[in-house]
Amino acid sequence: MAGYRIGRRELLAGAATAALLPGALAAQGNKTGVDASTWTPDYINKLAGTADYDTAAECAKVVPLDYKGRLTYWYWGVNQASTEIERKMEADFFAAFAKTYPNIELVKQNLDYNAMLDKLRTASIGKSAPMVARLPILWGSEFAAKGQLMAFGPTDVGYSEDEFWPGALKSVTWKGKRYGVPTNNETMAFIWNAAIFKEAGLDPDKAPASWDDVVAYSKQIKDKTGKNGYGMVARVNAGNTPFRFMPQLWAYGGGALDEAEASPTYTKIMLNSPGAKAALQASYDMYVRDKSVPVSALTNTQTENQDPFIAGQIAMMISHPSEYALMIERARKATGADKQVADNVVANMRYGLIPRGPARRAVVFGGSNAHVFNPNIVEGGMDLQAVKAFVAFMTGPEWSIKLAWNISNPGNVRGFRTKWMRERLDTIRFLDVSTSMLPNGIPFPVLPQSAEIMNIIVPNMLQNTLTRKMTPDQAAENAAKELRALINDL
Amino acid sequence: MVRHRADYLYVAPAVLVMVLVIAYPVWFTFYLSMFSTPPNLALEDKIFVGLDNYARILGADSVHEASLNTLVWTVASTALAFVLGFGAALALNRPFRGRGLLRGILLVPYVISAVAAAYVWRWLLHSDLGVLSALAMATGLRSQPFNFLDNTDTVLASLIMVNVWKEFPFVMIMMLAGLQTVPDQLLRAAQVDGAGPWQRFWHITVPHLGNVSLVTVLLLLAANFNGFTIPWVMTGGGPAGASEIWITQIYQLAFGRIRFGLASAYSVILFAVMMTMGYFYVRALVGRDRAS
Amino acid sequence: MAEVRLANVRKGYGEALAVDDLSLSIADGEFVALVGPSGCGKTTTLNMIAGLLEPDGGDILIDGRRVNDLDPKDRDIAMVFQNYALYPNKSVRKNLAFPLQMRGLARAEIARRVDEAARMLDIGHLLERRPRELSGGQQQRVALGRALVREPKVFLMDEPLSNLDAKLRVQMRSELKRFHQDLKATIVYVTHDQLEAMTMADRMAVMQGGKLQQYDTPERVYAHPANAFVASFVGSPAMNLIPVRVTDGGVAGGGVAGGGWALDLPPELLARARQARGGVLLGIRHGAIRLLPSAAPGTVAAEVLTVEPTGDITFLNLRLGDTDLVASVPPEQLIAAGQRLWLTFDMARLHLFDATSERAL
Repeated sequence: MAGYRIGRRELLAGAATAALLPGALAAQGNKTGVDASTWTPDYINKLAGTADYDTAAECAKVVPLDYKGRLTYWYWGVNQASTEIERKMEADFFAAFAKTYPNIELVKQNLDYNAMLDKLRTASIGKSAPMVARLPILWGSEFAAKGQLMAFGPTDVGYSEDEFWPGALKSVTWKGKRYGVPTNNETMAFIWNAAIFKEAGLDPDKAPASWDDVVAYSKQIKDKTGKNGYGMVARVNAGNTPFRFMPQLWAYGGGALDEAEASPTYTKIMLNSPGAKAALQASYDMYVRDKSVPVSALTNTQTENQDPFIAGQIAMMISHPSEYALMIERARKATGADKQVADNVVANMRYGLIPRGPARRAVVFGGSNAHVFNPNIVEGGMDLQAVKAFVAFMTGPEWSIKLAWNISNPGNVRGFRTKWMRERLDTIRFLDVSTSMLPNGIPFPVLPQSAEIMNIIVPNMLQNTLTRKMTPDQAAENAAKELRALINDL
Repeated sequence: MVRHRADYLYVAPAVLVMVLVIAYPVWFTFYLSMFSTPPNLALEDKIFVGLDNYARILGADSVHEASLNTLVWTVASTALAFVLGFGAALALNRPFRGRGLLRGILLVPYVISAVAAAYVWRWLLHSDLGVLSALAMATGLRSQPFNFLDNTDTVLASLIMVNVWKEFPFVMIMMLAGLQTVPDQLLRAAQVDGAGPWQRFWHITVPHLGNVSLVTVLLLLAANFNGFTIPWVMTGGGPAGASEIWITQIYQLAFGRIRFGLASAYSVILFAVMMTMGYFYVRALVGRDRAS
Repeated sequence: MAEVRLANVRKGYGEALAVDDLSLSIADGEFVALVGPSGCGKTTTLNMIAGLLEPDGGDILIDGRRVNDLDPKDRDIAMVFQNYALYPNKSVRKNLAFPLQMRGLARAEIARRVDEAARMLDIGHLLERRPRELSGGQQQRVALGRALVREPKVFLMDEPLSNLDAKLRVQMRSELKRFHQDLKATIVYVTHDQLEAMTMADRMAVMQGGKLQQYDTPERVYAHPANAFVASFVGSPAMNLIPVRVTDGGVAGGGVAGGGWALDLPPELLARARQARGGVLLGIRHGAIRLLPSAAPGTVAAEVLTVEPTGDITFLNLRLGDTDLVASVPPEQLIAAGQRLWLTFDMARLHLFDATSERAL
């Protein structure tokens, strides 16, 4: 019952985003593979709970269950801010692995998100890297480019590549070879406060259909209610900014490089394309012309939008699937008069698709990958069998979905067929909506310079525009120049 | 002969630590500054480029902008903190009721964590929800929130204000200590000679505090030049580079853009400037000592 | 110059009284020394005269005018401090000129007075130097000069010679005395050194515990101390004070096993001694003791403990009964430790004090 074959032809012929639809749907004759409109909340709901998988059995095919070995693993796991269920799932995961492979000694390290990248870089230089690490999707290319990862893909752990999103596979590919296995993928959605919409005279149950609508709605909300419309985020060197601006940039037909194309070359610069300039203009209109977004957008990260949203001061924003649970938490913690306001906001929260633009509907393809480090920089040497056992275990349908419970979606698409998907759909409000954005997901350019492009060049372009240091046109040209210099440096 | 050898042994551990923790990294930074380290290459594959990195940095527009910011940030923070701290020291020099309590309260900015303070101030000065703005709007002084930090014109001044708030107690303590060494008899002699309070301050206290002032100002200059926490936490160098100073640029270059070579060259330039300042500091101190 | 008068001046710190009901007058042109041990209140008194401290009670008058409420600069006084208190960052000339600048005098006048003072104190060649380049004695003269240029009514000096070495001190003492004579200045001089007071002052005020013990010319204070404290404070080595009992014929002192010693007194001394309630303190200076090699009527026996030759005079520490005495002999007389000598006292220079009240009898 595992995935089906997607031919190369289909892959290449695929639309801007690539989605694999396993099993039944293919049988229904969808030979061309990608059809974004079929991946609807409805379809997702129908798919859930239609299959069952035996994790131990599948792993045993790769590495025998009595294998004796040792494994070192670094990951970005639960912390103080994590919810109950995330903690439970993480604990269950390690317990289950210990039960399945009792003779593999697992030495794990839970690192803080902000510290992890630097620690790994340092460890790699110092030849004390772990065997396996689970890294956010943007981080892997840097290590791959430097030869610090071992060539390793889904087929090494007994899975077919059809079981993973093409966008996810793009993100573990360097110079034609696979360097990791996707563990989970998520895409953001659009949330809004229906009460504020109603107050401003907008249809409370419909998200703005296009980005031009976002600009218009934002202005109307500000004019009619005095509250800020769109929760813009434009801080430099903060991960949130590109996750919110790139969908806008891609929607208008722009991009950093040609990452939005079906077969990107990552050499064509699109920061100064007409689409990019239009996207910048939209932001300029909201911030400078209409003043309908928070003034603090220039120094805000998404965290600084959450409290205002729950206090009913921001009407709409792009939101990570986990933010719903976060908002509930915040409302729960509110006291006094704030509590009523917060509860009201929660009751009025709506989730919808991210607006489309003239070119497309787009969202950043996020998630994490499991990477195996090059044996010559691993501390204490490599135990490949233990690694395979662990990665097979972690990236199979069961744990792919369980470890992504609150904040993501399974990287292995078979996960969508499990009973746990059913459970999630029943307990996590709006999951079907945020999941349905997956086909529109575009990963950041798979280059080691991606971090610099997304965290510095793009936000700088935005800030130059919004502070009126440069016109949108100038800012775009300036950013393109910087990008060109960066790429040429290669 | 034996006695001298023992001296070296006593000093050896400290020297060893210094060599490991200071000398080696400094040397390595100098070394790395002559290489290009693009993010797609492992560190061992770095490319030798000689003084190219230095040329790039000295020629970059963003560095020129940051240089001006750094100058303003350093000089203004130091001057304002010095004046404010000196004033506080003068006020606290004579006994009055509640002096001990006030001295304790005034020390608070200096002792609390810089990061915590920066975050709190960020919210106090927040452009949409800041407390100061809320107060001003509630009392009808303003119809819109103050925009301190998201404004290229006022962001540096706002950060300077937070910095001064944080470090004036240091000046206060140093100058208080200095004030207490002003010889009483000298002040009495001046009083008998007919000098009023301001004249006593100007002719006796101020010259006596020359050394302490010099030390304090130079320490402040060095600390402010490298003052990373407040700008980084509050604005990250933004908006649009308006609060970017050398040290934040170096950090971003090294850990945002992962250009260790360039960042090393930038660090070496910073190092050179600090060493020059240090040289003049020592020269001034020794000069004063020699004269007295 | 002017006269200074203190009337019932009082100054306390918390419970303790630093100056207790002090009254004295200083005549115009008089050199008066305030002398006493540390903590006796002499510096406090000086500071009150200067206006640096406010008295808690009593009046201070300068030239007939009550100055309690006046600032130091308005009292027309000048002060010389123990540590000279010269302005370290100014040249000698600027130091001298400072008080005049504060007064707002014309530049020409300032220059005139500065040069005059410099000439008088022989520091003209030092005018451009800084205080730290000067020797102790030179600094002292500059301090004097700074006081001099103000042409004040009263000079107040707070132990100005204490920081100098012995030799320089002797030299400066005579210079100060000459200074006083040349200017006919009213000087109030605080010192803990009774020798300084003796040699320089017209009158000396001996203070202890905030109270004035005796105020008279040095000769009379030396020859006729008002109480045991003054007796032992003035004169070096200190006057011998021997506790004795009054007997029918005179006095008797305690003794070591074998009995004490006794001395007959002339009638008028005996009468005074009888006025005491309890015991009596016999006071005799070293110079008033005559030493004999053998017993004679009217002598008492003593044993030599140590011999201290100083070149001009030899001091002997003697044991008489159960007390120790200091006597002196000319340097030619060779006495050995352990030797037995017989002492007589010069009755004209014998002092009697009530052992309880310590007052002179």
